[in-house]
Amino acid sequence: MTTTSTTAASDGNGSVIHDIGYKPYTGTRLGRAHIVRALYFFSLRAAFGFGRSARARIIPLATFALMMLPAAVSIYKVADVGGSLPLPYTHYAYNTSLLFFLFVAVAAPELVSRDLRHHTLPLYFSRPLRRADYPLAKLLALATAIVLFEGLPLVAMYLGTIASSTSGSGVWAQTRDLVPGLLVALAYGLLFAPLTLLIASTTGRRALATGAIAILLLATTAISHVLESVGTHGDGPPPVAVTQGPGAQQGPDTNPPPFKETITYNGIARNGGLVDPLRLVEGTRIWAFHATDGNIPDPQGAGGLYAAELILLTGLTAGGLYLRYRKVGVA
Amino acid sequence: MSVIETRDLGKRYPGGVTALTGLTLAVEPGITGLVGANGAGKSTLIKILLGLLDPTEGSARVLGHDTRTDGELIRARVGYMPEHDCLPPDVTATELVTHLGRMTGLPATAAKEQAAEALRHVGLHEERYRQIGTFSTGMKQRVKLAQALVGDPGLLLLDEPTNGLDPAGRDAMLALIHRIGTEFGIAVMVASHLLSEIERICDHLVAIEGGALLRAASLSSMTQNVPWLAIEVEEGGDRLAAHLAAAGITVHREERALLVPVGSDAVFDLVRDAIADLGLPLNRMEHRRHHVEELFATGATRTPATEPRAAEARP
Repeated sequence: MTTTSTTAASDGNGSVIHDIGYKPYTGTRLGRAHIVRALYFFSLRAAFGFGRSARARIIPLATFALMMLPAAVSIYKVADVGGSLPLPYTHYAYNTSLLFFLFVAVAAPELVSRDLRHHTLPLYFSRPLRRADYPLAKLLALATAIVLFEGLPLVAMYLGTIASSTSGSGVWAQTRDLVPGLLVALAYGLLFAPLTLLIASTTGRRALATGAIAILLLATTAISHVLESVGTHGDGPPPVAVTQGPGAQQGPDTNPPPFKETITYNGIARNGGLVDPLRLVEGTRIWAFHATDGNIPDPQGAGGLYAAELILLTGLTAGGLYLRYRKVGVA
Repeated sequence: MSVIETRDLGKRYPGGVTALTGLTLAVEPGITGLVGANGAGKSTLIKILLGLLDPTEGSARVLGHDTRTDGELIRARVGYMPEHDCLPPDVTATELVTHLGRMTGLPATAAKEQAAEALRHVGLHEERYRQIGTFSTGMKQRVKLAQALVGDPGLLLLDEPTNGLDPAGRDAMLALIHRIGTEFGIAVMVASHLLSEIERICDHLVAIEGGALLRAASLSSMTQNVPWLAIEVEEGGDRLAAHLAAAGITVHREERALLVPVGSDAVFDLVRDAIADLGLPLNRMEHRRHHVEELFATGATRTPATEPRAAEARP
């Protein structure tokens, strides 16, 4: 009991209301831009489970910890053995895609399905936010979360590597390799944030949304993989005698060029990546950087198509998300 | 200054449904009841007032701002309590109200303080760190009220605030709204389809039907025009009726009671003397006022009183 209590009214639930007076708020009131920013940071934290129950943090933090593992191993390898990174920056995202799928399949529904499920949106839209502000804040938050998820291991690996680097040229080489890797992380954010949010925003049932996202991402990857296999033709395994010739003992400079199986891809293999968002980014990377270390067949002439679809898909899904929130009921 | 002003407000949905038509209103500070059956246009009116829906005709101003152009400014200063369930169960009351305070435009620290204040004002100070999922319906309704109250709004729009509450919870909620409207000095508009309920706390009433204004007036002018006196005697009701009729008073019969219009104070004396002269055992004598519901009823065929309003009188 407070000494300032003037009246105490008992209510139906047995608790007591103490009136110590109402003080009007005279402080600052921030505008819409600040509110969107607050929602953005709130959602960014929520994507990693912060500001939520401990249970909500399990998947985001576990997948993120596993994401850091290859980086840690790479740093150790470079520091201990030397040489190049076992997993190059540009291959990092592609080769850890399962972890990413898991992360995003949980994060996207966390950001939007909850509010749909509990009909919380009227509480947002009866405040200064405009219709488009809500999906915008969510979109930017998830995109940032994805870029952090994909980019932080790269940055960690970069810092770890240059720490054991002895020459300035080594640092420069690392930096030059890092940038395309970070751009891939950025592309992931731009492409996957609107795509997964759009799927998640169709249902208030989080498990359903998680399942739908996971199935879509896994299925498209599988289909794309099949197309790639169908369209790939090799000229058979190398003859054993050639690879193990006597020249192998004479040092690296006189080594015969290692046998390279001649693999030919037809149009199906080259364009098969278009059905898979993951390969869409990889194909765009190969096209944009004229990369020869692709994880998928070089799309060659179709490279521009990969980039165009990447941009188109991002635009369409973002637009779809915007339209989705125009239709949400309020009162 | 009116907190809400509408002029010839109309809303026709694309499907051809007319939700509001020619609604002209001026809502003064204080507590105003917005009464109408479900589908009368209450929700549409609230959406228009919040600037979430553009009217097809006319205009509306809330706290001096045009709803068409200044929706953001209005929503920054108007607290809205939705009718339906809108609370996530897996966060604490403090977390939710603080977050929504930020969404209203409060800086981080102020949002925390204001959320604690709002929860205290609705009587959830002790329970503020509990997850909302563990709350009773009454407590959830109060969380909804607290989120509307956070950040000291200039106007509260409450949509069916007593929905789903038991009689005790309803009384507590109404008492709370009354306190907010009177002690806190916040203008309140309460939408309800239960007139009998909100008439207890309102200064003004606005009744809409079929999207049009049925009646708007201060509550006192609606209810105090026809006072009645109800007399209930153990026996000899007929003799009393005859006696009073002989004295020139019109007597209505209502089951066991006699209803007498109170034209002047002399009527009380007449009734008292009549009972004393006849030596009748008086059970109950009470002052009844017109139930507001009847003022809105189109037929106006019912007897004037349904709810006792005054204390029992005994000889």
